[in-house]
Amino acid sequence: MTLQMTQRERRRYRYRPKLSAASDWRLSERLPVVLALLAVLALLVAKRGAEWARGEIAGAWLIEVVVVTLAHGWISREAQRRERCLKLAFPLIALGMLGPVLVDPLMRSALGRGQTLDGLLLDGLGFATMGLAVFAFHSALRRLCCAGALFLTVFSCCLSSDPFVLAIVVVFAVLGVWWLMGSYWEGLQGKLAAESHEPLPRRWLFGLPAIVAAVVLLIPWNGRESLLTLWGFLPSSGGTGDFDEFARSGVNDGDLLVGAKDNARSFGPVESEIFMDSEQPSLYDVFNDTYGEPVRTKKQERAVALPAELLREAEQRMAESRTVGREFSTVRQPKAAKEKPVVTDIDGRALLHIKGRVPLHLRLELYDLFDGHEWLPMPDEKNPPLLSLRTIGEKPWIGFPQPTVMEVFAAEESHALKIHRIDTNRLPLPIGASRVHIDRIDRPDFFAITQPTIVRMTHERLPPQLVLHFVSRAQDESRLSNDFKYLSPSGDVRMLAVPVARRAAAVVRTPTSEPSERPDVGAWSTESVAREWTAGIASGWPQVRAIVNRLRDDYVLDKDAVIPADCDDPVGHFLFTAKRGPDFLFATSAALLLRSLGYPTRMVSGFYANPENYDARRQHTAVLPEDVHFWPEVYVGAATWVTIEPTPGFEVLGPPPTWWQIAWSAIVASAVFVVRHAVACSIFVIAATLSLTFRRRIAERVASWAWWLGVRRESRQLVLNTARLLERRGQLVGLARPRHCTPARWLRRLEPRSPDLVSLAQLVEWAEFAPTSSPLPIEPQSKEVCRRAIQRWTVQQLQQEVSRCPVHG
Amino acid sequence: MTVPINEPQTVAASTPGEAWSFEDHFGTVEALRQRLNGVLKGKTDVIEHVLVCLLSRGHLLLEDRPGLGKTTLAKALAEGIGGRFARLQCTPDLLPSDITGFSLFNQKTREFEFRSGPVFSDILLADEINRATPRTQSALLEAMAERQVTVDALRYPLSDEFFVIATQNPHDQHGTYPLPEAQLDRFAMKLSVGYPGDNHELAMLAEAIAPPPCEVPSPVFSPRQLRDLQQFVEGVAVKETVQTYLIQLAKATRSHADISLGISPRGLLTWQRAAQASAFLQRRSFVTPDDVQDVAEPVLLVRLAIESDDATRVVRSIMESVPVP
Repeated sequence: MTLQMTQRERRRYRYRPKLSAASDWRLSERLPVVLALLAVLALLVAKRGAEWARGEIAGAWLIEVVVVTLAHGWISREAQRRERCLKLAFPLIALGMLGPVLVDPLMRSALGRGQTLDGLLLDGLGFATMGLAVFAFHSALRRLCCAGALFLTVFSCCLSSDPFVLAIVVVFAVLGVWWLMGSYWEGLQGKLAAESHEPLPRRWLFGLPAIVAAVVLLIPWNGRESLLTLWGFLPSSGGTGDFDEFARSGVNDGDLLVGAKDNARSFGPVESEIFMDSEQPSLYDVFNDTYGEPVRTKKQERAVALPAELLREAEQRMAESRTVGREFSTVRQPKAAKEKPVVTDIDGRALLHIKGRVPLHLRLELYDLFDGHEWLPMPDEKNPPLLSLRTIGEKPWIGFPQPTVMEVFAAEESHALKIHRIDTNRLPLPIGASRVHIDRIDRPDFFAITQPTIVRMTHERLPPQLVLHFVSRAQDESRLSNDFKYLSPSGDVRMLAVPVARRAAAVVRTPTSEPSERPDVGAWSTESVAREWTAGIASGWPQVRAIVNRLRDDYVLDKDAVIPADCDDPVGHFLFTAKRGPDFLFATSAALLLRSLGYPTRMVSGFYANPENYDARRQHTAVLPEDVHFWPEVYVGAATWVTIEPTPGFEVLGPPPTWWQIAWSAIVASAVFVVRHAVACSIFVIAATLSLTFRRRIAERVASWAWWLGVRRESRQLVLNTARLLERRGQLVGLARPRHCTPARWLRRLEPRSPDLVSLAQLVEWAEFAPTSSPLPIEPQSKEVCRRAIQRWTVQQLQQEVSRCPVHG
Repeated sequence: MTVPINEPQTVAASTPGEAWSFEDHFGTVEALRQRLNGVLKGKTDVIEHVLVCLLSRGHLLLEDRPGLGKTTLAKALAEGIGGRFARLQCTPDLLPSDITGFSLFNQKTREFEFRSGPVFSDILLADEINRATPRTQSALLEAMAERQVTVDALRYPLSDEFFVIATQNPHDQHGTYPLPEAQLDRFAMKLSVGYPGDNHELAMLAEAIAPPPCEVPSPVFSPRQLRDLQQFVEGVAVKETVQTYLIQLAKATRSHADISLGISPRGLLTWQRAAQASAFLQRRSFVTPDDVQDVAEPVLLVRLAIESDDATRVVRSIMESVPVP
């Protein structure tokens, strides 16, 4: 050391070992970045090694290297920037962690590509580790970064046996040991403090988990169905009854056990148990249970005077459909005579379960002839179209003819039926169904077309516990509304002439009046009523909709309504006298009115899958015995029929809603809720706004009240309460006490000339730091000093002080 | 080289066993404070810290340019205490024995006799300490830390009130030897006197014209009373929250990016004693975080290896980084 050395040079010379340590320090900051990038590379190779070329992996990794290196270098260059950017660390790392999970649903919907949950979590951990590497200048985040990198590397090593991954692991181990040694030596030099002096981002550290926890805890408050939304965060191919094609494997035994293919121990509607025999009640028992027994009229003279060719045709049809079809009378006996089944358990009473969107009209029987009392079933197809076998996704699907006019139907969607007890061999399918799948059934001759578009199995009845998948298209009414060119008033199918011809019969059978015993509906014609209801409305779908809406709006669904047994004209009685009745009268009325206007219409019986019976836990909709239903279908041309629903309370399934429609419906539902609870909502909004605006003043006022309530407390607590209240007031006017400033010093700085504040500062020092045995500095006046300080230094006074001397702020 | 030693002056000592109250102690210190303020005008902060250093039994390093009153302050302090005062002008040829003393063979008694050095005083002014060689500087280590010296394997205790005031010039570095960390850590504080204000310089100039005859001022209290005072200050209460605050601050010094050597546990003890003395001077019998903060800068500047040109800013940032209890 020469005498010519400056002080600074001397100091540098003297601290040479420390400068060396300082350079190690910088290295120890950068090594975690290298470790994190190595871990990400290992993960990339382990996850994508089989799919991507080496060049693609290298490209992806280089992008990550550039981003992380630049961000780390830029942030850690300046101390002030470090402190500023550190506030963003937790949000960015959290975003990186959750990013893949949030993006994956979009990828699935947009590109049809998804990842397994563990893959998503690994990606999230990779992004979080890179985020931690960016902030590696912070000692705690640096250690977290190394821990994350170690986990990723170990996991990648377990995922893949690629030699490149092993090479990365070796390099990682060497660098990791180097980093540990450096950290150890720094610890010896006292450079790694046990605690950092940098403030913890408490707002993010505690606030965010608190919000998440609050939301999770509030979900059960909203009911059981909301609670079920928590279920399913772990995709599964089995165990929970759910199936996720992006799941890696099932919970526990997965598909095989659930499907009872491996080790069947239970009996249920699963695909391995098809064709098991069971004694089940008949479908028509269900009809009679629901609507009552049909009235068998003895007055044969009131029979419909059918033309001879129709009579013959009808008899023939009856003979043909003896095993599969049966007429349905609109005049039924009261149900009171028959005991209702005891409602104990929905699951136990369900005839079938549906998985998929509801409501759904499941068709079983078509009727075309109506004689005023009874609907007669349509004849079977004389030349039924051939069914085809298609293999989709290694599964056999039986396809049947599609409706010709596809424009009125939306995109395909799939449903599953689990049939428990229906004594029919017809498949309960909606009108837009195009193909069905039963596990392992790859023979089209197991199925046949009976009535048009009604598919049956060639067995005597549907096997109990049958699981049936079908693909269908929901009808899109908006397309009908816009363009109804298919609907021709004259019709272009000859077979529809029969129902149209019945119109004359119906009109001929206008009821005669017997005023004393039964209601007199007077002379009426379906056509005149229909014309009246559709006056001024363009022909086509608008007229159909007008009639349907009229019935839905002006008539009341009453399943227990009874038509007098001797009533000749149940439809007239329903339309003009009772104005209430069961669903088959709505459907019959709509069908007759539409026919009278020339729209080919037919009646359908089957099941209505009611959304109210949706079981959110099992994600199935139960179809119960009382869900038997009647509705009409109207012809829109080119062998295409659409469902219409004149019965109030029943809806036709529309196309799947778009995101926009879902959002809009949510908005509308919210708006409806707000309107219905206008007073409560207004009070809440006003109270919330006022509370938010004046939150600090309210808090200060509450604190002031609390202070006055506690004014009789012992001196030490009173002094501390006084200081806290003044601090709160100061905070309100922008004079918050810095965290490194003691309350006493803060009070003295507030107004050094104020004797009250100076005395209070002394008291605060005593209250906070004096031993318990230490006497009060100004005993007699202590309470008075506190009282004067509270009264003198109000929020307004502090505000004036700030305005008078802005340096305070 | 001459080493003047003032003989101890007699003052009215307190009666043994007499219990002094807080106010009695404080009144004594107040008198010393006024005397020092009269000698070094306009430097109340420096004098407060000097008193803190004295009462906490620490040693003081004054770092400033020549002629700013460092020696005057030290002499006034020695006169106020009434103890023995020694002044040591450090030069590169100063030997350790010039400080500690040496054994001389007495021809008459045929035995070695110990001739004590200037460390055997109550107040030692080591002027321009950084001009002494490291070997000589280290001779002060034992004296400052343990209040004893060892010469020829014999241990000689120093005065209980032994107080070192060392000075050094931070600007003229030619031919100097910066104090090692071990030596710096023995000092409780490092102070800078600084230039006086215009008014105080004007008053100083006015007093220099026809000054009154120089009278040796009487001491304010005796060395024994100083010892009592120091013991009283050691009893000032420090709550656990304040001690935890001290520890947090110490950790902050050890993890600060601009500090290559944080505070040692010995430095932490010194800091607490200084805070106790500061609380006493504020007429309090307990320590608050304000006391810790008030003495932080002189306590930390002497012992932290701060790698920044603005050491004061670094100390302030440390204070601001730790919330008060």
